[in-house]
Amino acid sequence: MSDAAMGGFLDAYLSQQAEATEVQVADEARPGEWRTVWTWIERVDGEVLPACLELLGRGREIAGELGTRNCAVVFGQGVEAWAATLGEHGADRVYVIDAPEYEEFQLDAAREALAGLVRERRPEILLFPATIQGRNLGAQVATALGTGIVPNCNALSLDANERLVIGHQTSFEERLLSDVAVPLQRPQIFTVTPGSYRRPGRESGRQAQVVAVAATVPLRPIQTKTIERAPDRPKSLSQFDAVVAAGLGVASRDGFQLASELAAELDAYAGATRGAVACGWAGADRLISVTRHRLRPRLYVACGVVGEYDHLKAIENADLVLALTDDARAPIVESADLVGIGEPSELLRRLLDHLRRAKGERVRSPP
Amino acid sequence: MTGTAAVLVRRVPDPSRLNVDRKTGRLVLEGTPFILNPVDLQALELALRTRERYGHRVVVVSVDHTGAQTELHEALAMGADEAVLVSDPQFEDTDPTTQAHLFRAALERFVHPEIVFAASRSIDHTWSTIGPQLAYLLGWPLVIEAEELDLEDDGVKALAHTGDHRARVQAKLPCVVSVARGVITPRHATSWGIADAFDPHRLTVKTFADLGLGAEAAERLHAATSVRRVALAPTERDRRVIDGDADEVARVLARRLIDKGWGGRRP
Repeated sequence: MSDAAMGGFLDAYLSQQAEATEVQVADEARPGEWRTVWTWIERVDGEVLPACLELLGRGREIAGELGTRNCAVVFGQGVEAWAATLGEHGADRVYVIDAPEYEEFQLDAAREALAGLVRERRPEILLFPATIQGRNLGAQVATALGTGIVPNCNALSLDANERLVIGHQTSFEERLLSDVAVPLQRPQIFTVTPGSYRRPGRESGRQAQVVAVAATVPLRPIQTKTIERAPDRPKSLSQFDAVVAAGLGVASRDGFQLASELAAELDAYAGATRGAVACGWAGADRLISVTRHRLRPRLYVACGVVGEYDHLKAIENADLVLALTDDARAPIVESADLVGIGEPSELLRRLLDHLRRAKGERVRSPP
Repeated sequence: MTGTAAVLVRRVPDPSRLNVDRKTGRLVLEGTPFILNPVDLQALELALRTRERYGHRVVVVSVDHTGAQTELHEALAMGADEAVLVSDPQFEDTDPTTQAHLFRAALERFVHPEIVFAASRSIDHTWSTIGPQLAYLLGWPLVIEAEELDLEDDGVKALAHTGDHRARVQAKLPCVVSVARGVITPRHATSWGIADAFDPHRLTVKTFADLGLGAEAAERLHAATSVRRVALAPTERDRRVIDGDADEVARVLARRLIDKGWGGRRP
């Protein structure tokens, strides 16, 4: 590309930035310029991705403090019917493109349509789940609009005076906490790690205003085509957010089974100590030891684990460590955030009861 | 394809040696060792494996406000053919949104690639958006989270992700390939590779002026994001011990798990 053309592009980009800045200044004089909080709704096999409902919940709190509306954006076929669900989970308004072209996610099409809608409606804050879809779409929409994106936040806080959202990231292998904002450009774009917020309770009967958006944005020819769907990649240990490990303290194969049930309950990897592997309760591939890997789960639960050096070293970067043990002097106690003292398999059984009961309540209420 | 593949790389502070100035809430970079973002090495590995089958040139490209020669030598030692570093103190306040413009200029001026490999993740999170951002600026297709790659006459076929699900996809060249994390194990440098990496002809260092974007552009290339404050994550454990009736202990633990968002989430 020639210098002139490149310069032209930059000029366009920079004037876009300048425009965004000016609008923010003008905002004080003309309220309502860049307003509303938007959440991109990702669909998984015909359902709303739960992480998007979590974001709707947080978006509602932010919108409330800013005195503005909480909106959801959803593209696809038959998605108008979803407005009810989104309204019951906190959306005041739902922007819908209900068109078969958007049934399969296509990055180019979604970016063009979403960026067009943002230019037209001027939301102040735009939230995406930090999924493969949300991270890629968010990045391209940010570039298309000449604004900033704060990826992979695990919390969002609000400076209501400056109308700024601060994204809190945990980066560098969970070692560094950073607070990042998009001070001047609008919208402020964030992607948020699924599970960062509790899913809001469902308020039945709460209704959202539905705004149907025509898919008038000319679609660029779809550039990356799908040949065939491939099976999901089996999750590797490092991809689990939670790990439950059991050691000799669970006392028996039945006790080990309870730990595996807890792992299933928490969607966690079921690991084992050297002792548990030696007893034949688990295969050697389940062994957790620093000689095999260093783990960085958000949650680690040790059931009847003494805490050998190589095991503790493997889990030292875990976010939250829970230990169930009958020995208050075991080394694991020193390395845990929360220690339950008692017979591990008994504690496991009761812990499972409590978790399952809580889940039952969550499902039943509110109706 | 017999042309050029570019691999975008960025150096980041070594996560095990981070140093934070508590007064200013900033990372202290002086004296901190740097590494290449680990997923960049996985992207480089995919480019090198593709080169072994199709014979194109592999050029690593980096944009940095200070020299990143040491880190680029590492990429050369792994087997990259050449390295291009665009280094200028004016880049200090840039983020991937602005860096994508610099990369675009560097690629179009110095590298002329037919395919660009980028990491889909980064340990500083920020850099992870560069692939989709550059693809947008170039107007090229983006292959998302690639795990395997085949080149054809005018396109690529890849085991990748559509955004909805994992799939075999195809895209026309030129294109940007964002490489999945943790699927491809990067090779180690050989001793011959290390010796060869210091061939001065293999590393080109350019400045902002060489990009020909004009002085005015430099003044206005500021990051859209602003890091307010950083702090080291607490490493001390709480060590809160709950003793007593088994059911009461289990109830407290369950409550803590649920409060943290674990359990009871799925309908």
